Amino acid sequence: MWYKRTIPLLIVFTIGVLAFAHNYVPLRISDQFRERLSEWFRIIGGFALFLGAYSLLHMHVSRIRKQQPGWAYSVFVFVGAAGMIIVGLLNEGYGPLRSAPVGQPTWYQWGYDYIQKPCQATIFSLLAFFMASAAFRTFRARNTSAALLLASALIVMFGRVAIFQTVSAWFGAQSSFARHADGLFSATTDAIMEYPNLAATRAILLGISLGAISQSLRILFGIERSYLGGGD
Amino acid sequence: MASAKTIDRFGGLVAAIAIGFSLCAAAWGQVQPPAADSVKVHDRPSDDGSAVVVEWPKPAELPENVQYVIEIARKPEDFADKKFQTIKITPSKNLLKTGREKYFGFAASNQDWYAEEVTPAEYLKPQIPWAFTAEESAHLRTVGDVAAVAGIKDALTGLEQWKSLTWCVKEGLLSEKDAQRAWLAWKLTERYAKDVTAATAEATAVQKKAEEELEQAVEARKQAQTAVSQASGPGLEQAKESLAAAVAAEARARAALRSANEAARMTGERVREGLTKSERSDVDWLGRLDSYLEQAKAKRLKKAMQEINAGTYCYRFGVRSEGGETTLVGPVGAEAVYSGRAEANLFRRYKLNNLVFALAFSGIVLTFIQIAKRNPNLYIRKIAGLEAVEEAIGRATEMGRSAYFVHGLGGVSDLATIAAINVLSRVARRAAEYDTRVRVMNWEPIVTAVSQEVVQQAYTEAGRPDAYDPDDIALVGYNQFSYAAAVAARMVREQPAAIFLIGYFLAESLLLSETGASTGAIQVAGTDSDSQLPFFITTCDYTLIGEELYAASAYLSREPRMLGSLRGQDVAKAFLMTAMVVGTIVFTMAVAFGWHVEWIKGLFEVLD
Amino acid sequence: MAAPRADIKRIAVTRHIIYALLTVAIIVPMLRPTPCSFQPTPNSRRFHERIEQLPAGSEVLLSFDYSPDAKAELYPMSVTLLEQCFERGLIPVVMTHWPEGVRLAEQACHDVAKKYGKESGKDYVLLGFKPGGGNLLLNMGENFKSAFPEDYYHQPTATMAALKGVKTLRDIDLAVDLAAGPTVDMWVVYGSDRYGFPLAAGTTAVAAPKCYPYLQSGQLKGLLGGMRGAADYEQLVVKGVGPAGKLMLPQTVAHLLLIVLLVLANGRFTLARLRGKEGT
Repeated sequence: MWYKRTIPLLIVFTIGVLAFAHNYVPLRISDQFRERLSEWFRIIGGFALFLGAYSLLHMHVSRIRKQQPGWAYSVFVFVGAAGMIIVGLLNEGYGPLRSAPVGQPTWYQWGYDYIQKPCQATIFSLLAFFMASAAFRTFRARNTSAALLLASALIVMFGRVAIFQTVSAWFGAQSSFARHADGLFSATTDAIMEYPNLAATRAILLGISLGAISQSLRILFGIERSYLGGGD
Repeated sequence: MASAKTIDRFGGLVAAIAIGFSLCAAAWGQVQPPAADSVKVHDRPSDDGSAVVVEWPKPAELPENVQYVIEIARKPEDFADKKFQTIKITPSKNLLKTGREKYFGFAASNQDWYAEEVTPAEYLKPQIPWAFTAEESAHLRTVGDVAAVAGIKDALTGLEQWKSLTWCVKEGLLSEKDAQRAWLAWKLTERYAKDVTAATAEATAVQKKAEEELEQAVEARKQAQTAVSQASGPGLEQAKESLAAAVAAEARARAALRSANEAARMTGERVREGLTKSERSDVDWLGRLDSYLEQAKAKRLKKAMQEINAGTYCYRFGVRSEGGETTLVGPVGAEAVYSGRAEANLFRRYKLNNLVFALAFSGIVLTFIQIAKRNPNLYIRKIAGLEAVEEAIGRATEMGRSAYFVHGLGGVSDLATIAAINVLSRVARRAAEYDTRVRVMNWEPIVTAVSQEVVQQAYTEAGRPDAYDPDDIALVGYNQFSYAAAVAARMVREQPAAIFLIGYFLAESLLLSETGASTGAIQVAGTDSDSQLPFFITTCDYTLIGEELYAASAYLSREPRMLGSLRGQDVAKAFLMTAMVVGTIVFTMAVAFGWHVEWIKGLFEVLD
Repeated sequence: MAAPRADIKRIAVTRHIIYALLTVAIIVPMLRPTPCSFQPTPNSRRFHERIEQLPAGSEVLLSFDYSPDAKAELYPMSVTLLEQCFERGLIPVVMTHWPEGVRLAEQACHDVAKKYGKESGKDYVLLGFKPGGGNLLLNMGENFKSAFPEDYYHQPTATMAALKGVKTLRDIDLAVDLAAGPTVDMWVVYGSDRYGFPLAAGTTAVAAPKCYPYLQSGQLKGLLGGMRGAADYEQLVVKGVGPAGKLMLPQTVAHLLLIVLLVLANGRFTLARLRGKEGT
């Protein structure tokens, strides 16, 4: 049906052009338009939460029903969700429509402080191990560019910490050579970050920005329609 | 002995010298105001009509302790009636027109001019009625049973002005009934606030005492520890007993301090518990009313200020030295009066270069799209990551395992996510043709819904609508690391043969790609998040860097219009690269040969 | 990378050995700390001096844009920043764009304010979390108190002594974004470039390279990167070793381990290549 495609494309074009024009028009109505747009955006995002919750829970119900591998973990999803919803609604007796006084400890806060925060920190700290194994596996001087990459990585690793001073402290010495070596690596690291790294980052950013403009134009003019779902 | 004549002459000489010095002293701190026709008052360009600009030439020599003075009035007659506001400006580098290119451009002559931006509403403040009139008080007295408060008028004048209930009733913010309720709640809150202050003081005293007791207990414990380390023989047992008692006392003191801290934190709540339910409700209502009135006042003030800024006003200009009188521009008694009005402009002139470049770039892209329609065989270089999509799906089919598609953290408004959805539709179609299962891991609900539509359509187009399982496309987590944990766990359990990590990623990128690498899967990654590219490049088989991801839809579909847009993008990039090289050469030579090339910099300057 | 099953098993064994070594390299120095001295880098000094230059009574806007997973790097920075503000008589105004950042902001403000005897609303303000990102900054740029009518403790900001001179973002003397994500871009584009206030940033080590373009162009007045940045800053403010400084030793040992492993791996790789060449 033509209107399923045409009306969304018209909306995209109109709002896109108005949002583009807003950058150049200093009138108050332009600011009001921007504020209204961002309010609508927040409201729509709020409704999307319901969709997400349904999708998540439906997937786990399906896994439990079909007894797929790891289905027991899906039970934890419900235990956790139910637990937090119940304590959140009870809210230490204040109910869902009032907030407990600031500073009063709540079970909801306890769940966040002693379950969610440690879990998040744990997953994040896995990065250290993964970084080590990835570096060990892939940093081989196979060719010139790989060798350059390896050399820069080693210099930056030296430069970010004070290895020479630490090692000399282990041997009970306060070596000025160690201080100078650490200072040299630190300065070289800063130079690597501020010149070749910065140049490469800027080049990638330029390319990304131009690509983003081109993609935005394709979306604005309806050439790219995949975000509407359901094929071209 | 000096004669009388000599004394006279000497006295005259001294007087003349004194008068000369005082004249010099008077003249020393003075500067003459500029000529009347050199002072200009005009609308500030490229703004929303909130300010005018008063500009005047910078004098060659400027003595110290001199200030410029701008007087602003509603009508010329107001100057004589002393109904004007005065703005005193101390000359400084910031007063020059240079440094404000947004409004005044890049002209070299800007350094010879001072300019002050004047927002009329800051000086000619809006008039808002504050106090009750007698009629209003009488009217309030007659309304409702609360009016049995004979002293209501006197009591209400004690309120802070902005909370003036009469203003609220007049402005239609409050009904009269609410105004009375506010009055009663206000009195209640005053009492409540006093109770809270008293209770807080009491709780703070208890806290302080508990802290002192804890300090003493800690000191006693330390002494007991020292005694134990020094004791021996029969005294050792006694010392140990004393230590145990000191440790217990310290634990009790810590517990007491914890409860004192807790009590101090809960002071407000405890006092509140002493109120009745309706009193509590009134206190809460007044809190909300405060917030509402403050916002309403801010809105009305903003509107009133906008109306004031839109008016035409009169200005006078002058100079003064510290402690001295102001010397105005124009002859005494007929000082120059300037008229100025702020007007809203339709266009931000300082963004003209930005607009020109945006339109030029868009024009280039659209032109090449048109060219591509006529000549569809545009060359596009090979992008290994996109070529590998087929290979990856094929591998999954051969191994009889699934393929994973991970969107990353972007929402549907992110360009990387839209590009990822393009790639997903191709992956899903190929997977449907090869009868391979593709699982899509999402972080955002709307992206989930779009992905489901895209995959379903792909299966339908491949002639396999029955093979589509909506459970394969699901939201797996709404938090960055719960999402990463869920995806990584599924990778380890299900051991996919192909993994596509395409979208916007943050710190979880390495978690996902390294876990994928540990399963032995072929990995194709693509992101515009430049901080995560190094992780993908080291751990994945193929990586789409930045704009290669945006080119994916054009590359995979080979649609002429999309290929044309890529060509246009490349032409614009070529222009930028040329501009950078030429610009570097020109500016280097400018430094060597002293060329004046700041205007070129101004062409590319982004002002905001 | 895609690899045959036998290779996957071999790589897995190697990986687990590396994980075990890394665990030891991090835990042992934490249990048996030894002194680890280092000199603050020029970037850290620049950040510190930027705040030192502010006169007493200046308003410093701090944005706690991180969640608990970045706490190890950014929380010490945040606490030290608050300490420097209180010592210099500056007025920190604390907010966050991340909902998970509120508790961290509250904890930091509460602990440091208690240490210095500072009072909320008078010596500092905790505004809390508000959604909106760039739009929130635009609102704050037009009317600060309308964007945050109440602080975190539900006190009205309109009459707050600590915010007396603040009408819009232009009245802020310095803003510091403590960021684990892409919020620095947002602060530059919607904040400092538009409203002209000076901006500095403290970021995780991964996000720091992305901020160097802003540092070089002057859009950022200072940058602290990662644990080293936090440790340097602690040295400059606290004049000693703080929580971040204590973590420098495990980080140093971990780096050393990684360097040794890389050198060994490349040495083995090079030898194997040379032997292969000799054979042919």
